[in-house]
Amino acid sequence: MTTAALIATLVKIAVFFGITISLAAVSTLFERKISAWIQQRYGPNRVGPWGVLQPLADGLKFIFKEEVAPAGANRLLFRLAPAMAAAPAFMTVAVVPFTFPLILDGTRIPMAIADIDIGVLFFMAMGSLAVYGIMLGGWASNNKYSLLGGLRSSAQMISYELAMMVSVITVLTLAGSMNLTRIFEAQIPLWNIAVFPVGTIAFGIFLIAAFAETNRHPFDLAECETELVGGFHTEYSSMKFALFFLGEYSAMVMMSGLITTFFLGGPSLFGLVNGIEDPWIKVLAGLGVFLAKVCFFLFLFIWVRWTIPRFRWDQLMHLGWKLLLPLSLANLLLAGTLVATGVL
Amino acid sequence: MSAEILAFLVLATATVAGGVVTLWSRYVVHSAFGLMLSLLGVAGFYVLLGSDFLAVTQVVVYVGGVVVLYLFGVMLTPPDREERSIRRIAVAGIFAVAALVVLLKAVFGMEGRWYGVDPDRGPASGGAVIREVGNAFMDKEAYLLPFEIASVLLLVALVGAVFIARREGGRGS
Amino acid sequence: MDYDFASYLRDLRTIGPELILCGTILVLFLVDLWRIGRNRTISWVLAPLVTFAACYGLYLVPATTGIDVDLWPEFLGLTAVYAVVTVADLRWRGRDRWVPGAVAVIGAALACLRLWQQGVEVFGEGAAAFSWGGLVRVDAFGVLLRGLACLTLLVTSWFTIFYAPMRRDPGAKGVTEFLACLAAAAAGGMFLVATENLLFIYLSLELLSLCSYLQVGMLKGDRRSSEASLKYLIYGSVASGFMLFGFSLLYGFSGELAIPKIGQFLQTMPRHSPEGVLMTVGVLLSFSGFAYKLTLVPFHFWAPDVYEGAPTPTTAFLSVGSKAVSFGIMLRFLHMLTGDIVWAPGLVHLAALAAVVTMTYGNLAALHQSNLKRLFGYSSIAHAGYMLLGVVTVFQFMEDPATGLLREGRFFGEGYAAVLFYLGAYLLMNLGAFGAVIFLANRTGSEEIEDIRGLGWKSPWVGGAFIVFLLSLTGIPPTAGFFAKWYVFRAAIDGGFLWLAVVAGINTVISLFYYFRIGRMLFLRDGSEAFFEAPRAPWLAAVLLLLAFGTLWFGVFPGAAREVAAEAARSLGW
Repeated sequence: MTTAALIATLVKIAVFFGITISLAAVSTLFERKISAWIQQRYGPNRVGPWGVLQPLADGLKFIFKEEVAPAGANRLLFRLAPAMAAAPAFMTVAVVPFTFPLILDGTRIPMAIADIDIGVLFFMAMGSLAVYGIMLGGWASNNKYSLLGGLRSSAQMISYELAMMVSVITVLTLAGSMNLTRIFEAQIPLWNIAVFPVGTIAFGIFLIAAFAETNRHPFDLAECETELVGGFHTEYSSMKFALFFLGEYSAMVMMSGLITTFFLGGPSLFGLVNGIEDPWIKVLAGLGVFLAKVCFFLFLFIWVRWTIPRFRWDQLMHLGWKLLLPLSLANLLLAGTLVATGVL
Repeated sequence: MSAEILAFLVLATATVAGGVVTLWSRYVVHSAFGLMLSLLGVAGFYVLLGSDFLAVTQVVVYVGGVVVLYLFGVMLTPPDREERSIRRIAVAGIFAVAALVVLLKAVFGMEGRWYGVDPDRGPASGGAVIREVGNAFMDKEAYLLPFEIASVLLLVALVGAVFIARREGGRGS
Repeated sequence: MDYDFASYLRDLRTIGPELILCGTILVLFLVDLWRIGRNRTISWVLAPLVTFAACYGLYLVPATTGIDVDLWPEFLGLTAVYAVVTVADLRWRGRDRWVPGAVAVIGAALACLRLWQQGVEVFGEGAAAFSWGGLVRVDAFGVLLRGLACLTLLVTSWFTIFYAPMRRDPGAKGVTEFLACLAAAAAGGMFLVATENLLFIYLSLELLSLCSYLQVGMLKGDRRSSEASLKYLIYGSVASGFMLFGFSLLYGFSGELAIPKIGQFLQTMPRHSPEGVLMTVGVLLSFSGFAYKLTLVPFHFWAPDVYEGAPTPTTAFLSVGSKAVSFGIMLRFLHMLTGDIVWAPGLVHLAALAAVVTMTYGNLAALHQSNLKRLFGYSSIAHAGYMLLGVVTVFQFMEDPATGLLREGRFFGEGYAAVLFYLGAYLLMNLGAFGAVIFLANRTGSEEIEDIRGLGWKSPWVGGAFIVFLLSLTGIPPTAGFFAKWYVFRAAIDGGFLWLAVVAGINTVISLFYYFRIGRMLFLRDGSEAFFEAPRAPWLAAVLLLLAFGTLWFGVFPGAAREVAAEAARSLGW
């Protein structure tokens, strides 16, 4: 690896990781603000103007809180679990293309930290690892609410992962590549969400599954305050608790980024951004468009949380196994047929 | 020490340590966790050998699939409070050490004779591998038949497992 | 990509019987779907529609492509079976416990028919044909063993129809799943002997094993069945792990998956080299996997519990079909070792030792068993030991380079042919014995030897057939079992293992005691009053009589069968 490439990679890591973390932090604020609007309250408004410094204050508070581990908890796994919950989301940042590749003097610098050919597989792998943190956190706490939350969430994530993966395979079939940059580049003429019917259905399934995978409402049975106190993180306090949350919100950001890449053409905007001549402006404009789309989905995540009631446990399983999975398989079959016959 | 050797040592330590935890721990959950570590280490070896496709598949199938299901299954089991039998451990240890000695002696005694392997051939990676693997599965002259038979295996296993796991009186009542 | 449709059909044809079994599994599940359908009207409309569509599709393929699909009569037949069964099922709902069994029997019969056709083509050919890119090898040896597996399936599915614990169950719950597992296990076994590729061997062996584990545990609510299934699964997984490790060593050093190529590699490898040691380890580990399936001592410990706990048709399948194909793959594997290999003599003595220990252990342990199935479990271990005798002579052939020229000669084939004949005879007599156990257990409600007292007089035909099977299992003329033992012993003596033959002879005498005990209970004791007046099962009795007739027939005229076995053995060479 040349020095230039190394520097480029380091810069990319700093910028993209920074963006993800900041978005995650900001979205905690927005979660509260939007919920307040929906419920006709004020929300946080004490720290800074309009409460903008609230995430910072929260962070400080978490750091200074006492760490408590319950008696009989499994120390090692109890400590490891929050990190394992957050790590997969952070690692997914590596493959998401935040904007168009930068073309400088004929060299093409892809705008994902690691522009690998198996990006989608990497995302799947990380998605399948995400379940560990919650599961182990729930188990190690030595608390029945935590354990139930952990069990529920692992069952839920395993179930919805299937439908999600199959709908991703539909996208792969349409794009003909596993490289995420290629996938969004293939959509510059037409976004996948507009490829009727296969792209649209895949989008719907992916979106629903994304809610389940991030343990968000209406699928947040892992926490389910009314039944399980706090679910898998009942026993967690201070920074470990914060890590769980950071992981959850980062996962949300990443899911939004992936939905954007898979179905909404990533940084492209009806050929407007793609046509820009100057490489730097193109990259920045692409980043802007990408982040705007991500923010839209973050808003959607929050909006849904405060609008739709929680599913019952069996309804959740029913939806995942008996509806989404068969539907996604049929959709994949249709997509394969259409692609093979040259319709798409 | 080159970075590659360092990475190898780290991965090897993780793999072996994971294996030891799997065997040694009294908590089944710890064992599953050790297994996960071990399998992740193996995935790391694949990366080191330049086969990223295999590595990611390893993570998806084993770490993210099999071990998660194990964990799901064993989470509710109590720890094993039984006393360890030193004799059994000693016997197993002797066997393990003997096997290790034979293996090491053989590997070092081979003096670089490798059969069926072209050491100069670089690892194939990325999109090309995925295409190759996909075509091999669908090629009649390659692995189409095993691929299809595997589907029969999975179908029957699935039906049988559902039957075994189903509560009595689930059907027709 | 441009597909060569005709070549696909050609290759599909070579695995026709297995395909038919896979189709049978699908039909089983489809019929089951109608059975659980609550709405009869929809069933009435949908079932004929689907059947019609399937028939039309099958008709369309040859009509539109202009290529004669060789398999289509079978699949049309299966679809027709489906149609008939569906209608019958709808008509006689509630009294239809034979329905899944009938589907399985017809599917197995079709597969047997197809195998027979293949056998007619293959026998006398000499050269083996390959398909699926070399994965499937069609030769007389493979066809013969596939035929044995398929016949076992046919007979055991027939038994299943009459097997009381599954009939008593309201709505015949689980029969469909059970038969599907049985058919899939048979298909796996058939693939196992139709290939010489390590990858495919492993896959089909897993298909066979996994379905066996499932079947064993299918008597839900019976603790012994669940325990047996779990034991079988755990030990089986360990054995399979060992075998896979062995395969990985073989593949890792040779870089080849095909057995003949690995064999060539073994011969070109430098002698006394470290890789030779590891290859030996690989071969031994692979054999331990087969030995597990064959219940050879010290890999036998699962057998008694599993044989006792499993549903009796499964026990019959495991002891006959599973064993036949495992011997088949072991012989194919052994072929790899022909030629100048340093450690072959060591293996000879190891195998001879295993044979002696296995048969002695099996016979001694069988002496004081009170459960019929458990007794036959131990007897099955003993028979595996006898069969291993024939295998030992194969080693002997390799050891002596001077006789190595006699590849096509009498000596070469003898051990193989004897084993194959033994497997055929064992199929007749052991399946018959298990069928008789089912018949008697239906009448007494138990599988204890004590409880069949005097039953021979109550059911003289079945009792007589049972006696024939027992005589044959002991090896008394004029039964097939006698010639089976005779050929094996002769092969051992000709191979220079006189002492082995003597030990086997002594063992035969030991086995007489416990086989005779069953016969004595049947006829020479006063009848116990404990048995039910069960409904008559004339069709089960008919199959038992057929098997008994076969046992006697091959006991009087073994020549033709022996020729077939010898020809199959010859076809192993490359």
